[in-house]
Amino acid sequence: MATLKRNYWFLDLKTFFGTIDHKQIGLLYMMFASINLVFAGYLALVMRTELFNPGLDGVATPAEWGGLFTVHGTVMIFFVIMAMGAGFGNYLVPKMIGAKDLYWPRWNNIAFWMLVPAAIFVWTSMPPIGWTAYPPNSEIANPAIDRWIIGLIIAGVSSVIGALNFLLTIIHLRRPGLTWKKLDLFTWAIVFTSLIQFAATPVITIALVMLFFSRTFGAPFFDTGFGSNPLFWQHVFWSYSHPAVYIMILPAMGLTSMLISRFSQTEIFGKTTMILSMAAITLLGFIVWGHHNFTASPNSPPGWFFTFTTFLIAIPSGVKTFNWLLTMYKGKIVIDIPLLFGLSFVLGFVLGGVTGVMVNTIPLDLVFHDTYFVVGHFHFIIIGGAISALSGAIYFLYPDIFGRMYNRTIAYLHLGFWVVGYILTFGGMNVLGALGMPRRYVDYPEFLPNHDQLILWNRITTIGAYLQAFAFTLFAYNIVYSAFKGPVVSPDEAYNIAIPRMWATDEDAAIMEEAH
Amino acid sequence: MKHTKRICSIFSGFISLVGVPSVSAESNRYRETFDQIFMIQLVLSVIILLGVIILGILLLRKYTANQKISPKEVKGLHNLKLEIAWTLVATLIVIYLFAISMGPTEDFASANNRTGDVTIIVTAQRFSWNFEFEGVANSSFNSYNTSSGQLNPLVLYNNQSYILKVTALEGDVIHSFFVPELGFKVDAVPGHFNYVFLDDLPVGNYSVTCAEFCGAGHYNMPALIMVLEG
Ligand SMILES: [Cu+2]
Ligand SMILES: [Cu+2]
Repeated sequence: MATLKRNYWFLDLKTFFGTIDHKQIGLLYMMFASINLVFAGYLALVMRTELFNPGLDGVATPAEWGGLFTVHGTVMIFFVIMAMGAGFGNYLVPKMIGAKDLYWPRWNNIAFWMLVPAAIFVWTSMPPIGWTAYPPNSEIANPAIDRWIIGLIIAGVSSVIGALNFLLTIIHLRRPGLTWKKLDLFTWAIVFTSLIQFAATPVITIALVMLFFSRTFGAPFFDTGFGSNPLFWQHVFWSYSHPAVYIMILPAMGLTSMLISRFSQTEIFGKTTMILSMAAITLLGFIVWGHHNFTASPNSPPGWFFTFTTFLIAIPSGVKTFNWLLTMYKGKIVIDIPLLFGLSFVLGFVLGGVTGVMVNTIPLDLVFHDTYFVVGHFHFIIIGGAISALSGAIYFLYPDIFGRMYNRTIAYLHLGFWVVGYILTFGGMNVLGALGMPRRYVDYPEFLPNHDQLILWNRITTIGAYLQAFAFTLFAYNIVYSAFKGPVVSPDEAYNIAIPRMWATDEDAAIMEEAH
Repeated sequence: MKHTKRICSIFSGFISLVGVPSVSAESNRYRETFDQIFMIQLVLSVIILLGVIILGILLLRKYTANQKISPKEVKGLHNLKLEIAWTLVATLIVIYLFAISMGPTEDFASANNRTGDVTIIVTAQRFSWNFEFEGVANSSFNSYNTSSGQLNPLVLYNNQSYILKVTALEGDVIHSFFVPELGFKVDAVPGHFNYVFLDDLPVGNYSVTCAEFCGAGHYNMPALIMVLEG
């Protein structure tokens, strides 16, 4: 059975640990991300269950609460979304550019396997500090915090190696005649993602090392008494972490462009503008971090600068949104699962976008900052947006990966529960924030304003979270079941659409090899 | 004008439906600005959202292929005029939103250059607030009695102006002084003062809560501001 052999290569331990094949490493990244998603999603459900009723229900205690949201956030960012992006980059980029593999196949393997100890360090830490780890709260004596720091430093090193590898691959291994202008939008997205990773990750690594020194040796990097200030951390941290949010969204944007244009059977509308928009987002992303600090030191002057630069990001984001929609214009649209997930990305992106404009407006931020409004905003973008696009891309590539086809009915059910689920969850969170409920609360005590409405909207949010969990169960079932029992198809017949040749054939790869 | 008013009233109806307290004469300046700007952005957001959804559905319906296999690929489209047009529209919207937020931002931010009739030092600690009237001996008190749970309100008067100097105890962690119904929060950072100017406060009770994660008791750091007729 060809599909059996092809689908179970990872049962051979030597291949599993030693593979330097970009497709297999890509799949390893995706498996790793899926396993992390299951557990990080479980933490989210624990938190949502505790919040379903007012009062401390004992699902999670106040002492445990900090560890729950810290590890949920850290794992989702570094080991789910970023790992999925790296997975698709590995799987697709060499195909797209006609290379046999990445520039450094061996380092590719090492970068992936570094993530495993990193994740183990983080999973066994559960420190009550938030993924933002603001001192002095992150300077309290607690060995869990040290484990968390070490985990993130390892993940950061892996991320830099991966980024450099992608950049070198795309610069040096394109097939002859594939100019930058002809490069597809997903590969462009990986270019910008890697530039951000390469430029910004060292910053957070240095910050984490400083935090480690301050914890272990009492180095006063963030202490007022020694002429510094706890706010110093926030600036260093966000000058990495705002660009880092684009590490999470850019690959999903590239995948969305791919899905919408494939299934509209047209090329993307305004491709040059799309590339320029990604470039603008990448550059602007580095000079907006202060929007996280409006309420930290409201009397300091540069607030208007950061609010202005952040508003500017709305322009390329809006341009991209309309270009995605207009890609369908005069197309020959085939309505199918991957396209609808691509459109679900656009919906999540717009919902997260308009609420993002709101949190960036300082008079609104004075209320919204550090409330559920912010949580709703970024989950719309990263879960409603990025996870939608990643799910759509998994469906799209499914026949290519497994040589079989999934069940379309279950996939449509997945889509329905998913979209309704994320709108309820994150829309509910936006309302909670507007009502004044701060984030990172294990309970909403009665002294909070609008307490009755807090109960209602927390329940809606929790129900939405369970709908999302159900959608994911359908997704997981469909993927695993169809890998054994799905009808055998070739990628070409799976969607029955005239796909302009998306990636290079083996012939191209052979020519490429000769050229080197 | 009449039209705008109507749209606004529809939206404030919608907002009170979802539970956000609507604009009332009783709010203070920060909350008033918040309500106004929020309303403007909400209307804009709903228009953009509906625009995107309607455009998406129309395009889907109009260009869905009848037969699945198309003979050859369609050439990529672009329309420079259209793209320039919506870039300009987006830019104008963004500049407008930036412009209307600048005055209130400046108003809130300049508190450190203002003087009030009374200055109050607010010191956060795990997990309560301490209030002290600057220059008044023995005026310091805690926001609540940890053993009985009784709140000790901070009493203010509607005919006086106040400067809050917000900080956290030396050796403690960062907290955030959040008064949802007065439309602001400022972080309480050890070794650092943040200033808030308050005047024309409407008579009433206002809950304070902590908005920066500070440990296991973060969710339960209440204080009460009581504004009385002066
Ligand atoms: Cu940011
Ligand atoms: Cu606190």
